[in-house]
Amino acid sequence: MTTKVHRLPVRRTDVRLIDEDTRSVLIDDTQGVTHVLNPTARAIWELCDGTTTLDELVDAICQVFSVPHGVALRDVAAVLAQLEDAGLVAWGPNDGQGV
Amino acid sequence: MTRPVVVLVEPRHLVREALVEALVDDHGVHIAATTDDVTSTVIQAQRVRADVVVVANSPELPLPVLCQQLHDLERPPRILLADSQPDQDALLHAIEVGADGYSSGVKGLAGLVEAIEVIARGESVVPPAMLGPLLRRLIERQREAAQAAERLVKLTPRERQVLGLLVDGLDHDGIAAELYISPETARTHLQRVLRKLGVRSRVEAIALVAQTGLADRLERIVERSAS
Repeated sequence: MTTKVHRLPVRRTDVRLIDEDTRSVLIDDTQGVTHVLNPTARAIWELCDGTTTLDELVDAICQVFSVPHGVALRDVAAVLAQLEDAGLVAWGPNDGQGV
Repeated sequence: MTRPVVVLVEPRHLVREALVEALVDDHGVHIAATTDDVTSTVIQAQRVRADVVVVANSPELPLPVLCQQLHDLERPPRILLADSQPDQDALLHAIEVGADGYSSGVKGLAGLVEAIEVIARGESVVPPAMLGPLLRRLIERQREAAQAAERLVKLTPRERQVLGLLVDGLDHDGIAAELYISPETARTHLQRVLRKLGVRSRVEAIALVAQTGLADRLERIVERSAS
């Protein structure tokens, strides 16, 4: 079975992103809904480009925020789960770039 | 809540005076000391038991050395790099050398004061608009380091020693003397190292090691292979 750890998060490209002062808004015109992102969620969203692995994301978050790996993994996974639930991120194949 | 104790590091005398006046008088920041170099900053940070050291982004201040020496204190302060305008390179550098945050100057003094308060609480400070590009560049660095490490694994223990000595600044005569081999053998080893690393010159090899943070790894590998 292929777990999410071995796949790559890919963001939808048909939503509009508007940056405000301390938050960003994703506008999904097809569904007629908007989603508010905090700066960290906004950065994670940006990195869901189909080439960045979960481990890479977590390592970078650890370095910036000086948090233990487990904490960063939990937080990044929670953000990705919310983005997935909102239909904004899907999981694509990992063609050998690592986990 | 007690105000954080701050040490301000700003080599430019006039700017320092103006900053202190504005931060203390207008914003109530508790600046316990001001400094303009690494040594006096470390001494003052220890003396006043600083909570936060605010470092003005200046080419005159070696941030890696400053961060290292502050981290080594018994009670290490939090470190905030204060810039006058957003500079993604400066932010990346600050995070890589161990600063806890970066104030871009976009929100003026009020933004700097807010950053001091946040960082004193133990949180990290990165301007929201700069976080995404920062993470992307850190990930690129991770990938470069991983690729370089893969190339390093291809080197024999002797070639790693040669590369380590090259990074230390030795030429092929120096490497030959250090390893008790002939200069011709040292030259041959060097050529193989360059080929395996996929670089065209010694300078490129040294830059590769420096850019990807392999120096520590190389030292460990050399130590291990020598023991």
